[in-house]
Amino acid sequence: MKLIKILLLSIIGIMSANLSAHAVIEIDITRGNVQPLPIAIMNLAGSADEITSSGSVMDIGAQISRVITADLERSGLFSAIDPRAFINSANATAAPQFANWRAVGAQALVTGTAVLEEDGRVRVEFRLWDVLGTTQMTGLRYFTAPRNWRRIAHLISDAIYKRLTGEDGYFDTRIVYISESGPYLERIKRLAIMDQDGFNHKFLTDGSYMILNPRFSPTSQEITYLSFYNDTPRVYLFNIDTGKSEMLGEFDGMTFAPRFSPDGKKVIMSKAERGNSDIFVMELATRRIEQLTNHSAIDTSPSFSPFGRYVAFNSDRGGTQQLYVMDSNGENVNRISFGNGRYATPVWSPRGDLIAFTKQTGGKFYIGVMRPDGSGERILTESYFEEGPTWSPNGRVLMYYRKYPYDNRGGGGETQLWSIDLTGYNERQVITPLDGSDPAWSPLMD
Amino acid sequence: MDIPWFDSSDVRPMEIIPIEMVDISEVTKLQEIAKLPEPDQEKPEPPKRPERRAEMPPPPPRMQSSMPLPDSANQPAAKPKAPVKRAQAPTISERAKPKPPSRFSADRVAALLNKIPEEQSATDRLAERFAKQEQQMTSLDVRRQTMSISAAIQKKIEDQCWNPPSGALDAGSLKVKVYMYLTLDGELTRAQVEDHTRMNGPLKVAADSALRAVRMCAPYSDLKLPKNMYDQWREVIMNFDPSGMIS
Repeated sequence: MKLIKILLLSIIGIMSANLSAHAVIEIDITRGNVQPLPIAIMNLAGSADEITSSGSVMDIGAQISRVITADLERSGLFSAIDPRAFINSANATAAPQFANWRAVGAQALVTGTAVLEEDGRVRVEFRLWDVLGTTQMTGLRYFTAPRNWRRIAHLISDAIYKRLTGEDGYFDTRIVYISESGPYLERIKRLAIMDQDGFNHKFLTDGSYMILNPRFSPTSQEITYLSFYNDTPRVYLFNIDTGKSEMLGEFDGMTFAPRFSPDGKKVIMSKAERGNSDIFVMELATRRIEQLTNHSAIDTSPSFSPFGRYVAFNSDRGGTQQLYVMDSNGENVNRISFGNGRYATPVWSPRGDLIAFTKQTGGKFYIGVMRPDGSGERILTESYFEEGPTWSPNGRVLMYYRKYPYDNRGGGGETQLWSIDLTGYNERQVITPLDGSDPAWSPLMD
Repeated sequence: MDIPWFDSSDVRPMEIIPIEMVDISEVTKLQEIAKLPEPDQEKPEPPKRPERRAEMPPPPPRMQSSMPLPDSANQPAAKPKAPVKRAQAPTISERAKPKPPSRFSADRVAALLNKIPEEQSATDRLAERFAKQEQQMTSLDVRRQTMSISAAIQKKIEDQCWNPPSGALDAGSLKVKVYMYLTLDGELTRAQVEDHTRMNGPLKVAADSALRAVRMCAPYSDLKLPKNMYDQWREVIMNFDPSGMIS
């Protein structure tokens, strides 16, 4: 027995030696070209004979594909291949002929179908394919009322984005912002809401009083904002689902710069009284208020860290306006910005790795990011005037507003919403019906 | 103080959309096995007779394995993929054998021990000649050639094919090791990442991007890799490391 064991071990040893006789080259790949991923998005196949209140199912399928294409292209991470280049326009339920998709340069492919169900809903399903790996990467099916096709398109965009980037998407989200119109001295400012791509736009207030600083709750469809109703600035809470609003307490002095805590249960804000401004936090359920800073300098623009342990804010307690971070109980205040110029409006990224800010120096305004300890400051964009950054819920994109100077002929002064990728590329204007300022990004809708 | 008045005509409660989400990945694969067309236009096959189909083994469990694979288009369709990586790579020593049923066959071991030459095909003789040439090279020559092969593959992947994922949290730390197997003609037979199927999130995306790079750059015939050094580059390990590019 022992002899057999020895013989077997010897044989295995000889075989192993033989198999590993060839050397293996090992190469380090450390450079590449960051560029948009080429993706082919086929029209979701549907029947022209199945008619819904929102058109034929074939039209719905085609429109969903167009919205997905626009979503993914706007992210800057994908380049959609022109459908006119497609070699295949075959039924989307068939398995793709990967060689044909590879021939047109596609590395990912989206196919799918839209079908009218007996109960009047539309069943939409899609599949994401890895063209080079010839595998299906993900596939999902949705049911919805036909009129909600646009939201289904955003949900599909989010699913594709997540599978291809590894991060949550941000397409099924909305933006609240201040819609501006009228001359400089008689500016009408209204609260407005729209999908992140600018569709489904609605005004939420009539413009008879000024609205500022709208902020989305990270957990519900609620907005907090500053209203000058009856010429008294106060922080209000507005429920989008019910359309009802309520004032957050009656304070002496002026309350402003509100922002929700990450769990949506508190609102942190500034309160100015007798020329001084400090930071307070209010528990929404009990309306109990806690003062976090008590300093003769102006402390304002507070923003919680994602888990609520810290608060970033700006203060001129050091002589100039700079960024500070403190514990959420107001202790351990540390200055984090030390660059030239003035820093303002710190906003903590939802993923916690960065704080976005507005910087003013040399007669220009900048939007930038830095780590919570103040290191790694990076400027993403600059212009004559821009401020008010807000994060996409995945912490990948910033939206802000930019104002152009007035010219000598009475023109100029436009105010626009813009977005930029965290990498500093892919800066795009967000189109609004009128001028827009002070955007706030919603969390992903449930 | 009154609550501010809102234009209620503009403010409608947002609709709760009933959405049932079903992950149909597995369902799709199963359905598609039944729907799958015959191999694509690149490699048309004559229609099979029903009685012959009945003799065929059951379909493979995963859809992708039954799909036409561009990278393996030159390989015999019936060749089963062995689970052992190195066993699948077309090695010279394996080719020299007339398809042994098992690597542990007593005949083969005896052949190794006795060093008795077996009947060889022309390809095998060619491979053996290359191996002999390699033996005649000095170790310095081998090192130079190996470095040159590495540099050629590295340059092609870096310049033309790798699109590293950026923007993810700690994207720079997402390092991936890819195993690439090449034929003597520089065709890619297989590329794989260890534990790829068990990966998720940004690491899986990083692995996807590395695999895409290796597949997109195939074939590697344009690099004219020295055939007498085939034993050196039939299997290549690539470490994709974006830390120098993405902070």
